[in-house]
Amino acid sequence: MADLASPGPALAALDVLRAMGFDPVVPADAGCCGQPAFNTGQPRAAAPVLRHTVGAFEGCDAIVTVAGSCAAMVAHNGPALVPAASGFVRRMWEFTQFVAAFGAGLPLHLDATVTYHDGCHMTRVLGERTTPRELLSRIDGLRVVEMVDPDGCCGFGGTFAVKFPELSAAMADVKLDHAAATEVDWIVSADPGCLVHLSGRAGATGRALPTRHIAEIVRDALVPAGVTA
Amino acid sequence: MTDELIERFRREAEANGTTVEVLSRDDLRARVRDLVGGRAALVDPIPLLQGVDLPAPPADPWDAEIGVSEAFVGAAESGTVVLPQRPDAPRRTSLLVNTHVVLLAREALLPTYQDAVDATAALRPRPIGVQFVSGHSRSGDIESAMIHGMHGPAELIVLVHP
Amino acid sequence: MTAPSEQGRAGSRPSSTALIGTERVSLSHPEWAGAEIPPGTRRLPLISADAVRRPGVGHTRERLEALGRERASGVWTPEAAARRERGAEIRRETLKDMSGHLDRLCASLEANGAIVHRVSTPEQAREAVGQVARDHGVSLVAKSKSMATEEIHLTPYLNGLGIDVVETDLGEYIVQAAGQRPSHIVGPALHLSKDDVTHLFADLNGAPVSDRPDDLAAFARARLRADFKAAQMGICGVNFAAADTGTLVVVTNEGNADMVTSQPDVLVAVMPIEKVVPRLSDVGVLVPLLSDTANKQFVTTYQTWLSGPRDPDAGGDGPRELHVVIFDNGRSDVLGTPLEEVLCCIRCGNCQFACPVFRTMGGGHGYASIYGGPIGAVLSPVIGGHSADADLPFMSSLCGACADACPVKIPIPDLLVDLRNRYVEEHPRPVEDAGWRAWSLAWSTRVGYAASMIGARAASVVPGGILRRLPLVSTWASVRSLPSFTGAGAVRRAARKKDGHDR
Repeated sequence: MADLASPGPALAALDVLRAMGFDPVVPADAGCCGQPAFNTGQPRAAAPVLRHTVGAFEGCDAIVTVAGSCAAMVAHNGPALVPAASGFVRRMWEFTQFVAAFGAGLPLHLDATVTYHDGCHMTRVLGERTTPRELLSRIDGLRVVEMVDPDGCCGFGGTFAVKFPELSAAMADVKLDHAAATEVDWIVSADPGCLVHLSGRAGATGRALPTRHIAEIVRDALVPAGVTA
Repeated sequence: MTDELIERFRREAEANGTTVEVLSRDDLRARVRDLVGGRAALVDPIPLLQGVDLPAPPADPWDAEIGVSEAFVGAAESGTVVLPQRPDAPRRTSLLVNTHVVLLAREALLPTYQDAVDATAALRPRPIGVQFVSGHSRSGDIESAMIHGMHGPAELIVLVHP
Repeated sequence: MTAPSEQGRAGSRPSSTALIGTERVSLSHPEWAGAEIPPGTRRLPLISADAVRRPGVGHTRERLEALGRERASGVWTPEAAARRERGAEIRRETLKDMSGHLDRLCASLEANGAIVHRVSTPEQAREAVGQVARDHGVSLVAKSKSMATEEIHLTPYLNGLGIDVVETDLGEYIVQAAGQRPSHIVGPALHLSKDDVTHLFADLNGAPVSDRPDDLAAFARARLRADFKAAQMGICGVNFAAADTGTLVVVTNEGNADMVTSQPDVLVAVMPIEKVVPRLSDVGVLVPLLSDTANKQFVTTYQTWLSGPRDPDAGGDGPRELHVVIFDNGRSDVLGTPLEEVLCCIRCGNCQFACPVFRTMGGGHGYASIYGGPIGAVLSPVIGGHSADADLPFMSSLCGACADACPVKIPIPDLLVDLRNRYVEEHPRPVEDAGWRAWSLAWSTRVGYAASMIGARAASVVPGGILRRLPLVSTWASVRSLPSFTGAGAVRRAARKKDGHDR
């Protein structure tokens, strides 16, 4: 998804990782976790794709993903689908978890207001409910305004979005209404899927509700070396 | 311990709209007589009420306005009273009426709902029916508004006695 | 059979007072919300598209959201969490030896003097109930809430035998009078506003009625009371059936189950197999668990325990004959498979309150099935005659709120994925299946993946009007603007640029 329709978050993440002092690689074979097929009843189509991606990251000490739902997919379903995935899962980090663990000293400043949308799979399957907001709270000048039902589903749901378009769009409208009520600069999330769906719906309904991935917010907040925050 | 239990029972029952009164045996007898008054009443044969001047039941039990039962046990945690059915203690006493009065002995008050379940499950001979009552009848079925008094009694009064 | 002209004659064969005036009801509903779903109706994407636009859906959604927030799915106090653990344990203990527990239940019920009808299909279940009614010359049945009786389509069957059946739970009575199916397991009329109910009751009354909820309830109460009194037979559902003592446990807030199970001379209790629990003592855990998730109460106002018919020579009340119909309808087939966990359900409806799809559709009618919401999406394809509901599991974003909300820890999203797998295996769709195979092939090789990125970038220069006509793209674009594909493959290129060579 990131590579196809939303490269911004991954590119931002690369910048953040470098600012943290790491030398990130994107293996040429890195691809998809297989989730679109797995969740839609096509596990046999998902397995080779996941296997290919797992193989691509052999030899990496840490694997960072900017898609919370992909992290959840691999953690929850990976090993049963592709046995080699257990090793991958042990080295896998969702982006905010990695930055929280290893980027403590990173100076971060951004004058903006945001509201945070908790993507479902990261929140409920991966069980990650706190790290993204902790990370946002470390950014000087950034104000987080909570929307009603921040962990309510945006309506993307992978193939659900194209199998039930009106229903999916109606769910997005509810989320966008809640977000609009916060009157912030950006709707932020840790899942590109949610953001593409929400920005797509906002665009189609003529609503000016900019979305941004948390990796992009963190990258925007990076204080250049030699400049005091 | 029993006083604490009674207070807990009172709190939980009153939160559910039940009226709880703690009375001596003599006061209770007078209270029941006052509550029943001249109304059409269904009164189960309760030893404590022997000799109290109470009217005969109406010809049609569906015309009764007030019913008087004796609880087997109560549960303080949930404000529950347990009413086993007997041939001389039919379920209509607690159902067909608008006001239901339940006599509960202090020693019969147990701490938890589970305690009441276990005590009732152990009752022999096993009654063909038991009613666990924790408040007055209600419904939330019309736009979630809480309606007071659906099919069962709109008023539940529990009289706790020694 | 009772000829229509004989019904309602005072003193002979009573008919329902509460249902008088139903022919005047003007409250309309889409056909997929009706009491019986017309065959051939089911195209879920079309129904769901209609459901999200149904008049009043916004208010219902807000009501469901408020009820859902109140229940805070995923947040269990220590006491509630402990009860949930124990409840989940009890339910899985039951699964391990379902037929053993059922055998014990039947033996205990029969020892208590109940007559047990253990059957497989909905047809057999209906016929068993109908036979009891006919044996006793029943013309009026008072019924308390039972989703199981909806599942076996009992009421229309009995109506066909000339028997009036009146729902006595206020919410069930409302939807019955309106000719609709229950919308939510616990709150059948959740989708109707106070105004809807006022108009409905005014139609029944043939004259205006007060719109205050207490007055509306009093209107229903008076009518239903007449039916409680006149009914020759009661039908009730079962929340829990204790195998050790042969006791049926029924919970309500209204007291109608007590009426139905104590006043008529004949009582038929209807239950699917998964209502059985090993011990009567288990209800000390399960009733509070159910009451909390269904109603935010510690316990419901009434629990009714039924352990047998009354001795005909003894006084008092209670049915002289107690029949228990236990039906399977395909459930045993999933025992021993991952899908068996759906049989842990205690019918609290909390998953439905938590579900964004359920809320956005304004309730359960959009599932075009007896059981809606997350639990319905798993149960409906499992139970007999399920081929009509086999695609229901796709109508979910797999958000997981239901799993958080479930008091017995049913992993509903995982079961939905299992059912999607089953659907794909049983319903080969050449184009879609080939599409996934092609995708899989492409994205499991470096060359194929790179090619697809190039293709995506190429697509970004295709005029939008043409792009939006492609399959899948057109569905996405019908309600959302397209993302830009100009950056497809950019991440890989950026990484290569930074270090100047391929890794």
